Amino acid sequence: MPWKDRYTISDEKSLLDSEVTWPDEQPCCFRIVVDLAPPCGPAGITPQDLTTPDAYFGMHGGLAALTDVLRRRRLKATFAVPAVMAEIHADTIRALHGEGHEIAAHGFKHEDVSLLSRDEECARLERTTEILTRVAGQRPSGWFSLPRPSDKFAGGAVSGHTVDLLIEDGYDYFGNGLADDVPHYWVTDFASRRAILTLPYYYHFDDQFFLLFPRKGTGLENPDTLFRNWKAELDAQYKRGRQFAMVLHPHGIGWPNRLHMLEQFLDHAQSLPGLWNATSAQCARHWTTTFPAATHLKLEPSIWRDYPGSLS
Amino acid sequence: MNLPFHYAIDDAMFFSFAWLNTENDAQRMMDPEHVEEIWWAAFLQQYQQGGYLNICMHPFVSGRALRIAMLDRLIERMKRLPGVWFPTCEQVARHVLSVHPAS
Repeated sequence: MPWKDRYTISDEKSLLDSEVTWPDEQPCCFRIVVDLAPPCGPAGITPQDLTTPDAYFGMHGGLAALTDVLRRRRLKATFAVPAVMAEIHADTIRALHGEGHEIAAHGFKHEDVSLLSRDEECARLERTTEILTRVAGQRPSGWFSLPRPSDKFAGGAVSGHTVDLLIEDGYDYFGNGLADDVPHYWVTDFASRRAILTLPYYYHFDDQFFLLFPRKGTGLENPDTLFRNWKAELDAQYKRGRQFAMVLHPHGIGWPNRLHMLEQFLDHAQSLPGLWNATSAQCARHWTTTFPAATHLKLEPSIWRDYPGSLS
Repeated sequence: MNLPFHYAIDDAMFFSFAWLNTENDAQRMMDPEHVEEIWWAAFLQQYQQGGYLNICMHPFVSGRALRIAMLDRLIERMKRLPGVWFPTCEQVARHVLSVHPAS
């Protein structure tokens, strides 16, 4: 089915609300992911992408304002960092890590890896791991492949090799899967049950699709829609005991009026008793301990089966 | 016999990115509260004139927690009005075929 391209993985059996548990009986997991890639094309970040006023604001004033909010509210976030951004802004990345935020990988230069050969993708992946380990002083636990504003697809692109390469390189989790709203396993080989833990992402909770998307133009600013999406999802997931994850871009959300909207949402989130603000690595560690693939990966043949004359 | 369908009562039109291969510039993704009011207005109009409303939903769109909560509210609102019939399409078809046969 065309609209399921790159959405589906072969394990589609989810845990029921009553089966999902979080540490210390906290009712819901609350994750904040901050994307440090400036807007770029499918080839990845170019020098020109780094010299726009928005890109400058994203790594300076916007990032400082956002991290101030997180610090004041004692919230921890996962920063998805392309390797080239870690090289250029090494001190900033080290400071974020020093404050207790998680530094995760976000590609070598946020390029579309489906355009690369397996060898080239493998080489860039290993180089990314090496750079982030050196800059942050700790090996990244997770890997993100978040969407670019110009992508025709809002889920982030991977190649047919990406998940295999991440397993080979020892990553604990892949950061943006659309197949479930709690952590789940992305299966690369059905017979051998080869899989990596995948954390949920959904573009309705990603600020870039509501703040002058896809670029400057008329009527493209919809912060009230974003606010209501965040609130409706968090309220529903808190009640059901599942998980909430939002994605923020400092070059967008860092502007004062938008930051004010974020603060109103965080006021609401922090008024919910027992909400577990976890980094993605903490969430992943809890999940692989409590729901390990060996016992909790319930594999069933994909719900999309081909029959003679079917449309798939 | 055809049962009516309208794209404005289809969840993917409001929520799904690049639906029907639309350009990125055309995306205006909406929140559940806004869509609830559009669908409620459509329902109320049909209710007042004794008509029929067919909401089209995709599990990967409407199955998301924020929209399941909205659907729950919408159905509760509909049930507060007397005399709303919630049939399957087949039940509607059988009813129409027996009451208004083509011949």
